[in-house]
Amino acid sequence: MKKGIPIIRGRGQWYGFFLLSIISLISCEKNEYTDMYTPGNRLAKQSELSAGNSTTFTFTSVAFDTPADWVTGGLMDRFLSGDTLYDTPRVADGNPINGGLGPVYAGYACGSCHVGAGRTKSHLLTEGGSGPYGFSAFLTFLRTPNNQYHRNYGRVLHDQAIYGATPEGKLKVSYSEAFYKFPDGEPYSLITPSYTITDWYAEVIPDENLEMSVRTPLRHVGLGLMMALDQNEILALSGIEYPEYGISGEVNWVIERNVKHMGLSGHKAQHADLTVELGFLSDMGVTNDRFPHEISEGQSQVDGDYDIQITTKDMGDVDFYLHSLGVPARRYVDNPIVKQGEKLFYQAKCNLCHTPTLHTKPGGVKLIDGTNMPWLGNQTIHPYSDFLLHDMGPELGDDFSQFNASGDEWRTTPLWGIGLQNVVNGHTSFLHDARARNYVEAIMWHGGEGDVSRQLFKQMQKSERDALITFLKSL
Amino acid sequence: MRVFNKMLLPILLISMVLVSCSESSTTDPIETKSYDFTLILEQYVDHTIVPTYTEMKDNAKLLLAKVEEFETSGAQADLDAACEYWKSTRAPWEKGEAFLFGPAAYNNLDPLLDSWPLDKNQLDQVLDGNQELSADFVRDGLGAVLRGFHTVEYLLFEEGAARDATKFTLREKQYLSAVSEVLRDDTLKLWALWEGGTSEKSLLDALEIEVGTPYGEEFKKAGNIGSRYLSQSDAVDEILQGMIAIGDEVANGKIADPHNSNNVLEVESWFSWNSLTDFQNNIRSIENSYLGGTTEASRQLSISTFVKEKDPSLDTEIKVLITDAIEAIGAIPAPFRNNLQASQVQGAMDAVNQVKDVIETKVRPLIVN
Repeated sequence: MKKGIPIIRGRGQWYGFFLLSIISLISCEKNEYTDMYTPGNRLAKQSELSAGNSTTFTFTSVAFDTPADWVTGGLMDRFLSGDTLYDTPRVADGNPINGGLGPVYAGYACGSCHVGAGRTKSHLLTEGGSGPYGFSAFLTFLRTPNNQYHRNYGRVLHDQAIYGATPEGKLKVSYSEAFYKFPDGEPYSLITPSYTITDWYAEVIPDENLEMSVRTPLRHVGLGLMMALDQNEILALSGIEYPEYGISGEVNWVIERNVKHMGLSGHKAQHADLTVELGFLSDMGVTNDRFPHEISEGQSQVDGDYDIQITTKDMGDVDFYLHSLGVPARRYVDNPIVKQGEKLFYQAKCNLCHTPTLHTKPGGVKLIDGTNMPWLGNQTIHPYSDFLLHDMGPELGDDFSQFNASGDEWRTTPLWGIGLQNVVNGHTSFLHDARARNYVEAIMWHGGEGDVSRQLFKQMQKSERDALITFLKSL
Repeated sequence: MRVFNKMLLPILLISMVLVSCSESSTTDPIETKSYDFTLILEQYVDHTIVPTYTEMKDNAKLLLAKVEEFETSGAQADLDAACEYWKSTRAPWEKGEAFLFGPAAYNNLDPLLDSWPLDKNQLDQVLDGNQELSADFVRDGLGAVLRGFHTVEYLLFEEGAARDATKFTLREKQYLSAVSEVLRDDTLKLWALWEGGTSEKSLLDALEIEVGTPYGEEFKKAGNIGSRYLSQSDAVDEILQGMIAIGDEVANGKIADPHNSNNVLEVESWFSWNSLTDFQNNIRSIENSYLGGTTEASRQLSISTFVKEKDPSLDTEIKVLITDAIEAIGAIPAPFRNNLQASQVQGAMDAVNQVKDVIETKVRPLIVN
């Protein structure tokens, strides 16, 4: 029982307001949604359906790692194949199966940094930087001030290595803590990281010749729906400005395969796809048909060429897996505290960037390998993101621009699934480098375009702040 | 004893508990109760999980002690005994694969203990190298694929039996001791994170393992302040999902993958020829999760109790299917690596899938509304 919504094309501020009004109305229009039943055969409330027919009713450690209901039969075979490839450690070349790791790398499996398709607790917080045994659950992007790779280091710092090779370096982090109080007297504190790279395996890069950005893994929730977004809707949202709040979103137009695309994935929306091939190469050192050369090729410790280390079919299966993951339903939607928190979410203007409702385009998605995924199409979804860039202020800035995204700009993180991160991954660290240790800190780090929400949140009574966060936990 | 006939009442008890939102370890706000699972969750933690992990860390200690004896003596008898201790440590690990959520997942302990495939190529290079082979080197200098059960197994076994003790190199013995020590530490950590670890405090302190609030205590409090599970039914579903996941992995991964590829190298635990025992113990992890306890004597309240109250025939069906699955795996001729295409393989996969399916399609609907 699926119905599309009327798609209105156009641009401009007034159009944007008009579209938002339509979206607002639609969000209350019950028959625009897919009928979905819970495992207990209860017809789900429309307000529970985070992702239309890709909504799942699993609220446990596998909440992010559960296929959508439409994944059956041969699709399930591909899903399981992709899931296995995602989680199984790669090992060094010379082994009979799962080879290709390294010689330098940042993690030994997708699932090392994305346990349960979530975000593994970063070693920034547990180890003070680079992890000692195979991954660190963060990436350190490196380049020169002229936007070039450092020859001996490449795109990211590979702080791990197979036996016989040397990690490119180790990242260390230290934190300074500042203490604050809400007007009602409740204390909170924020920790500010300071990063240093040590143990450079080759030349030491002096600070003046180094731009770097440390980023922790994102939850892999709703990626297929993100790729199926009606991009006209995103464009329309980018045309909306709220000068009274200093808010205006911007599309990150990125160039991939020499073609201009709307950037959607990554902390700065710096990618147009789900970066499966790039992740295997750049994070694990596993060459593939799109990236056949080792990321560390040319380094002094890398000897010669490497064969393709994972098949195109396997890459396709991982891509399919990521597109097929379900999105956990919203919970406790009728609870009065949750409803109060939802109201406060709007009052604090959080919704102006964390857009509650979007739609996917008709037809869904066609993967690079030609697989059609029509199930992802024509869905009303609730990602709580506009997938646009917003200036979040210098406190969060990394001075690391990517395409249109300036150092202070970040993509609005989708909030769907955020309430289950603590179940899946055992922590409540948020933001690009996990510096926020809980929901309150994450909100209080919002500067720039997010400052209006921060200030409104700050002025709330404690019970109201708690209610707003209870609402976030329901997502 | 708590009365369980609340479930018969068509009344939903709704409790709301507000907690501090700034504490990352506590979640939640709200619970909707339709059945009181408190004692079932307590039994599950105290009589299923904790005994399983206690047995594992205790046996891992024995394994380490015997390996260290072997390093000194070089005696075949010590090596043979170490092989038996590997098996007795391995058994509770496999019987725990239905509960790899929480501490095992949050602390990366599943891959650290049980990464497969083994990176034999790197291991051979390490053994040919000249670094001091200490536990610290294994722990901090090498990745997950060079430690854990399968690394120890590779060093201890050959063709399903203990290796020839006279063919061990000094560095092999040193690595075996080092990696067994790390295995002991990891099993200790997993146990302590669930149980609290008070009785091993000095060792935990020496290893700088911080336990904090035992996860078992939090799990038992599902739906209340101090637990990240918003409701008891979420916690019970966590148990069910664990059962489903390992059933799926055994049927459609551990058995199916090498069967379909006919590639012996995809068979887990093939150095020791322990694969079929592993698989059976995986189904026992489902059995112990469903029936509660780890032995007949320790079985009390459990998910089975709940299901039996709802649908006695379903409870009987599940018990029969679990027994059948264990037997079906046992019917595959050993070693599995030499019998990948045996006629009994399909039957075993089908039997395990039936267990998985019945939990997914008939038990979950009773829990997840």
